[in-house]
Amino acid sequence: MKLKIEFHYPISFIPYRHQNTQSEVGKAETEVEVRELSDGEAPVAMLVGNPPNDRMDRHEARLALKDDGSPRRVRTYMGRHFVEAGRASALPYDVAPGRIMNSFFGRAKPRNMAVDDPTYGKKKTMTGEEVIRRYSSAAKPFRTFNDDHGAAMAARLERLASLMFVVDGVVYEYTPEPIIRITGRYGEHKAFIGPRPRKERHDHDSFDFHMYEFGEPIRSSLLHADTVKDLYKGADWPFFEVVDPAASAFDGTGYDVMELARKLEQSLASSAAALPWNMLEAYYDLRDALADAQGRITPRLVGALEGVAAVEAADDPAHIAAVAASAVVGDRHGYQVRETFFSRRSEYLRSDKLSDHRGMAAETLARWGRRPEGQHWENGVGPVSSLVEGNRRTMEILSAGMACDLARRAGIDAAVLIEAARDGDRIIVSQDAAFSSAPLRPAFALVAPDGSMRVLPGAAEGAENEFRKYLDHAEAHADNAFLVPAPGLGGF
Amino acid sequence: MLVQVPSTYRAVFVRPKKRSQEYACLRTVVEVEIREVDAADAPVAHVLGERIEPALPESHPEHVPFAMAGGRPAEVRIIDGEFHVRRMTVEEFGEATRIEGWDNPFAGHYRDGQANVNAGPLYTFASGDRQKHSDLPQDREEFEAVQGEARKWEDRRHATVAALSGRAAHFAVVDGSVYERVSEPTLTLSLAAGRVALRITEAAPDRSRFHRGHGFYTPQSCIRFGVDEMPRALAEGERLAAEAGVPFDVLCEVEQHSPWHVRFRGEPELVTERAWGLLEALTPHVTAFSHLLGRAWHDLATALYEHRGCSLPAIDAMRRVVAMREEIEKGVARADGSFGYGAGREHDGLLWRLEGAETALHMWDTRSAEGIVWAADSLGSTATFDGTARAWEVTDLMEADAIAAAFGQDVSHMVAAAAAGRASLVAVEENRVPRLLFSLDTSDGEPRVTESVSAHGAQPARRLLDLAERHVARALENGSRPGLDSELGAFGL
Repeated sequence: MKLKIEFHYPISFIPYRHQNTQSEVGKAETEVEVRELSDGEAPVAMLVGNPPNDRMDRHEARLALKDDGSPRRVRTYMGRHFVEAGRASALPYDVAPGRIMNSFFGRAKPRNMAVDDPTYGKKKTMTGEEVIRRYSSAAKPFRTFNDDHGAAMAARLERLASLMFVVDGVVYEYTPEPIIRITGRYGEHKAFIGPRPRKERHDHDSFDFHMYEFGEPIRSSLLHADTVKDLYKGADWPFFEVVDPAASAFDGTGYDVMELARKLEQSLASSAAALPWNMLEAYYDLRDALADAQGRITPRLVGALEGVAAVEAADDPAHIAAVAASAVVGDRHGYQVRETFFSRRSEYLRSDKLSDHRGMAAETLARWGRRPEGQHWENGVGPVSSLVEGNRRTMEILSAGMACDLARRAGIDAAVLIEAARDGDRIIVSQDAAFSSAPLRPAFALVAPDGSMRVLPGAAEGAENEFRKYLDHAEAHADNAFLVPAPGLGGF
Repeated sequence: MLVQVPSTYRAVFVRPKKRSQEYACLRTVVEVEIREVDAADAPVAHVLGERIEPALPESHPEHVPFAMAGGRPAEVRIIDGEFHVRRMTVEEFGEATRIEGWDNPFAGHYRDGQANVNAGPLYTFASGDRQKHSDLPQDREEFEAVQGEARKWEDRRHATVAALSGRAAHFAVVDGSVYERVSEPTLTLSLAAGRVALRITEAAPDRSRFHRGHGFYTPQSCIRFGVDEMPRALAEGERLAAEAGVPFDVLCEVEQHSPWHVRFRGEPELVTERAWGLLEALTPHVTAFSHLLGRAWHDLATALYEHRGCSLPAIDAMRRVVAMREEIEKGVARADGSFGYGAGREHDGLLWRLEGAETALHMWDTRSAEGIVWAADSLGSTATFDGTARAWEVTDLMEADAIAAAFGQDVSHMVAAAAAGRASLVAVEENRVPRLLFSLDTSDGEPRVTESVSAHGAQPARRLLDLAERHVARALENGSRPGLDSELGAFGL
């Protein structure tokens, strides 16, 4: 359906003899096309409904029960999720000036436009430099004047319109995959359906953190929500029903374990010089395993976490006293050395930090223990399971969640990969190592247990060489992984 | 010999209708006695001297303890077991006591319990302005004539007299020349001011007098040798100069030395200081190390903090760090121009300190310290602690001397046995005060204490004896010295 949108956009300029940019609001109009699809083109994949709550934010509210108490439908189209929003007949009303900012199109708002300004709706809109100069009594021409007549805004609106469609007179808006989230901060336990984190977990260079990322360790796909349900202490468990299991592929275990492991590594690194040797060694193992893991839960990473959890507590008071005594360093060149790393070490041993670190590792392993059946595999992966060279990263896929993400990006069927993995094949992917504005499509290869390799169609030329190089590398370091320089590790 | 030393002293007073006390600086002349020693009781040990280069600030006569006298090397005599170097004739000394400034042999900072005593003619400051010594008031009457009435007058001349008498004990007159007490002379190679220079410095400088209270030569910037190691010092100096591309100036001359009076070797302090420097440079980068380098760093830190000196575990760990030089260089290179935490100036000095450590290890490996440093024959353990008490193994003459001096006893036969490798010398201290020293014979497998001495001959506390026992047990248990081979074995290589 065609939708006529009248919108405001920012005009920026620098007046004569001024230094800083000023802005005014211009007005323009555009027409966008919202797709109309049939029920078969965009099938219903799940039904969701957060219990209504006064304190819901907009992310929760989009996935909440409808006003009449019935659940919202989530449809999939081209591998993406779209959630039911409202009647198509109400769309022209919703995008009218003054209301558009509260609609899905409100995301088109540029940052420099002050919509929180209460005068915004009433503000007189400007149309050109002459008008603005007259309005602001500026005698001389402006130094700069940027007015695209709303072209950039119109492009954004068009892009947003392409992220919506209408089925049977109902509007569906794009949403990241709805997942179950459990929070338990400050004694307030909450379980709700929210969007999956936007940060791709294998994309560790992307800083696109979602607002929920902080302090929320428990996430799960709706399909496997029962693996974490007993961790929830609260009352209201949201309503959901998964119609299409393939549409609920988010790997909550992978996200949670990786986040906890990274936090543990950072915590250990912050007191690295104070760690006793057994903990420092466990830290090195964890650091190297994380660098190799590239966002995946490898057997080596699980082994490193087990190593941290198994560090023997040096709680012998006599030993701690001896360490503290040796920290009282006398003079060097006649002056007192007040704080030494040895005094930090005795503080570390005396404090709860050591048991905290072991507890963090145990907690991470417990989360790993809750992983759903059949979603992760090892398939003979060695201690070295990734190779970063130049701007290409080659590694093995070890979970169904990552297989789905990457397969969607490559435009192939994830079921092929998952099926092959269940047959014992190793799945190798080659993709961009870091964020790229023009990303290459991931290329896949399947290595059967007998060693024969099959490159899936769609791979770029030369991908096979990369796969071979990776396999040789992994083979060569199958025994002494700790001598491999960890990729991405900074120098000193 | 009696010497008149013009000096100043302080008096505390309060002005009328005032409440705070003020200080007055007054002049006086203190008569001190310098002892005279017969030449027969003061044998000449060394004859040596260092050239004074007046153009250079570090060559101020007061900074040069072993200065040449009249272009000739000076005699170093042993008086009451201590080194004394010839400074000047009695007549010159008498004149020098009247000089203002650091050239005056009595100039110095002296302490009076609470406050500095302005002794010696150097400090003639009164009411903030420098005055001539002769312009200062001589007594309370002269002071009041100028400054007005003073009450609560308290004279502190006795403090000045005590300080200068103490200073006078540093001097002795032999054969019409004045000798000054110094520490053992050492050859010092320093790379500074665009040249490598060989000088003679004291082994343990008296900080109150030379170098204005500061240690002038620290082993981070220099290498020290025993006074009998002239050929080695020259060779090392030439090597350093050739490496740095700078001239090599030999500023000193050793005309004669007595091997029986050489107790200093530079290697322990050099290894210790360079190891500390290496540790300091490495510690910020612990999170970036490989397992092997991390282990070496950890062992180095542990050995240094436990022993605080030159010990076999520290040397061993240092060797392992130096052996991984390639990895460290790669890490530093990676950090250059990248965004990581290593970027910037954090690794400044790491490579330089690595070179310094290599030099120290080279010096250690080529040492000729027979009978002076016997660390290689020691049990090779770090120290053992119990609260503020520490038990450790003494492995060089200087340290043994310091403990013997603290005990006031002769332990030369114990030291000789240890130096010859027949026994180990274990010391126990509490609150940094030596309490116990004993000789441990491990030659026949069964360790037994052959002889022990303690402070003032008193029986040491039970816990100190326990500590000593534990230390010996620990040292014998760790007797197999940690080596690179065992480390590599631990990693399955």
